[in-house]
Amino acid sequence: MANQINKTDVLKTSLILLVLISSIIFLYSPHFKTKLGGYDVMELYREAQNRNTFKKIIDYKYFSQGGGPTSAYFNPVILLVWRQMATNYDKNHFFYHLLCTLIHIINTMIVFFLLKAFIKNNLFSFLATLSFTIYYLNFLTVGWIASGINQGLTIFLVLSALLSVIKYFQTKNTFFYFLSLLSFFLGTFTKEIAIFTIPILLAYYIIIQREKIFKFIKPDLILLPYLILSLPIILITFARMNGSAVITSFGGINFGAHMLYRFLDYVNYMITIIPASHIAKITLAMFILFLLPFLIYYGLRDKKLLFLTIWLALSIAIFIFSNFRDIYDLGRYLYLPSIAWFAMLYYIASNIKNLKTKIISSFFLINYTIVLNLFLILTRK
Amino acid sequence: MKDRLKKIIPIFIIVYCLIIVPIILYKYNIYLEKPNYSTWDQVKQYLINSKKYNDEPIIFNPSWLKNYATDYGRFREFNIAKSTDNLDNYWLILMDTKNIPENYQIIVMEKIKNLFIFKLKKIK
Repeated sequence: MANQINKTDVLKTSLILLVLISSIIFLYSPHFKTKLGGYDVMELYREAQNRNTFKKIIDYKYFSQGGGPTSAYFNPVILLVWRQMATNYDKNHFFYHLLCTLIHIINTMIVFFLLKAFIKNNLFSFLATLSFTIYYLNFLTVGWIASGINQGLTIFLVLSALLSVIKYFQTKNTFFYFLSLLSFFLGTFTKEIAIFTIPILLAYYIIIQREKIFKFIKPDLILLPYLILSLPIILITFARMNGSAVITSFGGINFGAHMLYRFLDYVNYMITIIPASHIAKITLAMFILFLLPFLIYYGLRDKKLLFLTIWLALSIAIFIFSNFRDIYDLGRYLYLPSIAWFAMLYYIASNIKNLKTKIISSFFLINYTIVLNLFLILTRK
Repeated sequence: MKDRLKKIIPIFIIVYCLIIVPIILYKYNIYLEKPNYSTWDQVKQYLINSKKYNDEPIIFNPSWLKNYATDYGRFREFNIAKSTDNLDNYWLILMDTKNIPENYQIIVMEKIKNLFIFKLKKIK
């Protein structure tokens, strides 16, 4: 009997994954026509040509003359990937797009298994993953080779670290724990932002896994290896100082308040998907601010909702200080937050007890997260 | 403990909704406001001020200035948010007059302290 249930489960999961992968292949295929070009892409391409030895790639004192993305980060993992691509395929854009799409497919699969840990209903976790897959801003991110590889690869390692540690808590198999550590360590050398896996993990551990007592217990040590593994990138960041994306030249008393507005900007952009008017932004900000006490109130009663809210807030907070350009140029920074966002929306919908309300809210949610995005993708210029 | 919390939470919610949220919204509203086009004087002032925080010469084209100044400008309370989207013009700040790019004609040049500030136009 148990075997049969297991078989049906595997069949269902495979079917869901098949639908997700085929939707990516179908919808993302127009990207393959875009040629290799643009400032960041060519900067990374040139950098991959210049740094032709492994020693040059891991040289943390090396500063790119171009002043582009490679000078901002110490990212040997990304450069190794670019080096391989540039050596094997030169400027053949097809393979670069293939890589971006493959990374997105793998991320989608990880997101599905990750969300299954929070949303028990298979249909809702599928819908949440599909929303992430065809989210219009993610569609643009994957289509742009520089962000498709850089952002996609970083988020892949961050998600792998999260999924593995959740699997470790479920199975107590140390293999998953070491896999998580490895993903995290590689992630820190992909982009510095991967270091923010630690607060997300900490939130997961404290809210969902930890016993509720106010003293040190042995399982708390589980986070220590992550802190130790983050030391190399912290030291390198300090050694580079001016060449870091984390340490900006800005400062001052207004900094914190400014970051709050940036945060609201990101949340607004995530909700509206396309640039919104001034009034729409203010209305949404009002809505978010008044909703906050409710989220905290219900979050204190529901651990998973609390974690998803904190995950969303943290994953937006990661990016608010790393680039000060116009918000509408930075859709790629919503690749990670979009996961927690859709997980939260569908988690709330799946937990509504009244069937009528559940059906109506799911209907609106599907229209907003799937149909609208499909429309935007299919009608883009 | 619980009784005390029950007293504090409603007060906190009232303070939050009636005082904190309106203040944040008011400030966010100011933050979102963008003047339409910046004048040369505003740009110049912006370049001089931003020079304080950067040791290297800064080169801006209008789209960069738009991106950079929207946030940087608000943050430093300079109110330059938008410039024209005409990519043929751009502003340049240098320590000397040597490094002006080819194919650009100088429209305005000013020397302020040890800085040269140029407004350039692309020669077609």
